Amino acid sequence: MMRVELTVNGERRSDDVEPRLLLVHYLRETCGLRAANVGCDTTSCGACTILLNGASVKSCTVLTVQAAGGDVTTAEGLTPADGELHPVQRAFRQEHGLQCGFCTPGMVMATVGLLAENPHPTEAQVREGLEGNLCRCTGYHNIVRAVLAAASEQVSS
Amino acid sequence: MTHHADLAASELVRAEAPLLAHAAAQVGDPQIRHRGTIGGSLAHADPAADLPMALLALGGSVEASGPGGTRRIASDDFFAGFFETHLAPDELLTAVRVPRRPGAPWGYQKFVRRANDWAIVGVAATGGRIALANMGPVPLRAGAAEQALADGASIADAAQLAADGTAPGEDMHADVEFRRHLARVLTRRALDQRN
Repeated sequence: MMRVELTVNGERRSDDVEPRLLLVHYLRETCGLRAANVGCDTTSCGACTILLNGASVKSCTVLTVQAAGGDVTTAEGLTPADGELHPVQRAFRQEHGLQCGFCTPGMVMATVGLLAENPHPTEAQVREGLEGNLCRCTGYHNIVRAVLAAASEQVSS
Repeated sequence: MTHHADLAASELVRAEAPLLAHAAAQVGDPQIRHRGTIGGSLAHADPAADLPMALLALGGSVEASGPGGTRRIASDDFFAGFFETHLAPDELLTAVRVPRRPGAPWGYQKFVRRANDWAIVGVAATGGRIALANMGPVPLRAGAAEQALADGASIADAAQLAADGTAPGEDMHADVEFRRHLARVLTRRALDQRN
């Protein structure tokens, strides 16, 4: 076991973990944060996307020990538990940017990462920016609309 | 080691080795580019990957460090086989070197079925060198096409030789003849793009 210290959704944590423990399993099982889903376990689907030090990463391909000292944000951390939804979450709701919802936390976190790097993307840039996230319901059109709505701040509260 | 996203965004790399920055921006998807590194990609030695082809086109080299010290390995001598390099078991890849070529023309062509796939065939061309991805077990130089260009052949004529000496495999995406065709077409496009 190894001791890791990191910040998860603003909370400083210190946990003993196996060196092989994937970050997504740490988040889901040690921290009890279930937004990041394990879809493919091979860095293909993006359902486990979180922010690590502000950059979108697939947490099924990060060892927990690699995140030591880092700052992790999951979908739960976008907004306080009793607070208003994050603008990207509101945009996904407004534009119905989901069908079954399994990919949604990853889509939302990839979008937050994308808009941090490029606040006003074109539709093509949105599609390229989300190329690492798969929606098996094929609900891409509404997802892209949601991202564009979030970027243009055309989101009702 | 430097993440692909940092390499792609680096003003220094974009100015001094723009082909390398462009190649880094073609790897996988944004999340992968935030985690993957140039050293990792080179040591992994996937013959279909972007950065091995880019390093070969640029005529770069890597530094390998181990108990016996540090040595430099030219890109032409680095790739040993399918996912194999000439790194010794006790060596780590610790640095990557590319020549500074600010303003040098370059071309980069990557044929994929989906945005974040590996190249079915890729071509990178700059400074008289043409490198091919996924035309054999290692990234390859299109030697016959390079020689023809040096001898004054037209781009179209040189590109016709791009698949000479290659040994591509076949898979569900492309058979051998299609890959050879792609190598010729993409080489012509990369050479045209360069000018």
